[in-house]
Amino acid sequence: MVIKRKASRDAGALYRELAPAVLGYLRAQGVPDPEDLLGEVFLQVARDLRAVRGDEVAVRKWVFTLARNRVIDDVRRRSRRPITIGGAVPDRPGPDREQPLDPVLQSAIDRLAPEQREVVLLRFVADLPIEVVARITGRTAGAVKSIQHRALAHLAGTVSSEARSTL
Amino acid sequence: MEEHEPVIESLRALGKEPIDPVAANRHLSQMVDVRARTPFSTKVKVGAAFGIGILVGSTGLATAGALPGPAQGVAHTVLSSVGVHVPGGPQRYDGPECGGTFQNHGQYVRTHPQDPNAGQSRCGKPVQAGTGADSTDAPDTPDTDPSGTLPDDRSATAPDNNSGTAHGKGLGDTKTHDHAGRGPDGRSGNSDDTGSTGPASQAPVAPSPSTTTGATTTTTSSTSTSTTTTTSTTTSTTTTTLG
Repeated sequence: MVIKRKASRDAGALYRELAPAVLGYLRAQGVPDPEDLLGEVFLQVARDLRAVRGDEVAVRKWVFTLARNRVIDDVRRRSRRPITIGGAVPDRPGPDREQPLDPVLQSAIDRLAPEQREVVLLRFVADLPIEVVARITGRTAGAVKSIQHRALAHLAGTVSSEARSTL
Repeated sequence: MEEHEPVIESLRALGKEPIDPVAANRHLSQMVDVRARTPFSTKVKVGAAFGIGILVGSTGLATAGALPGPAQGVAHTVLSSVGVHVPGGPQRYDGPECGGTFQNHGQYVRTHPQDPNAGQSRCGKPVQAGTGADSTDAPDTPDTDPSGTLPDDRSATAPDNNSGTAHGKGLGDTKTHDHAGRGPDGRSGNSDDTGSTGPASQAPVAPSPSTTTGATTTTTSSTSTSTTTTTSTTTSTTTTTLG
């Protein structure tokens, strides 16, 4: 029997534990200002943490669900009101240029299909189990496994080809 | 998945990069502010807003006099006790034929049980509820029908009430009879037993000049029934008692 207990966590401790992973998730999703979005996510965490029940995985799942929803909102907002800076409109906003990710890996992630990118980031950046990723994305665990397998194969192929081309 | 281990490690490393300390401090201070600003949960806030909305809305309706009649009267009474004046309920018809002022039509009807037309009267109804012509048009049926329901019912009520009283006494007598007719075996005389005792059970409904006499007769008959098999002098004694 699983006893559901109220999360007796401090929001600050949760920030120190999960913020790097959330920030990596936001950066890899290509959000233009990931640190601002990270702040918004954890503001909501601070507001609603008292209402969250469950173990560490449940809290982690909740935080990354908030982050995922923020990313979706951000994409919708930008699609409605595109921001033009200096007359040049990028095809897809890139990551934070001050703290760039590995450009080869980021390029490979950018080339993934949206559902593959989502599954791979939730699985390995957010470090969530397959079942939890399936619940967040509304898919079956089998579908998530399949998507993950294809995404990893695609990433491995892209990274190796990029590495060969740089050599 | 092992062949993709280098890629997986690279992905895991994405989630372990440190955050700029300045940004982290800014986020943490914002989180503290948010927690300090939200002492109540969302459910409590929604409930409070709902309650306040109901209060303000009903007070507004009462002030406008737009509540239903009885509710407006209650609002008038309650709010006037706290110094807020709102219009009262609708004016009630209290014409000369009413013989007074009534809070509502039901009160008028209850205070005039002998009046067969009290139900059709306008007395106690809101003034705007209808005209006198309306009230006389609608319930014509009892007047035109010789065997009308309302007058007959009302005329039948009084005798029923009287007979009901008599029955009540008769029932009490029956209990007395049952108690008295309880045999040596201790069997209680419920209604079935009473029905099976023959004369004793017929005694309460037998025609008698008065209820009291009937009760006495009942008791005596029961006694005589239980002693008839032994001696006839008991019956004569009973008769003496009756006399």
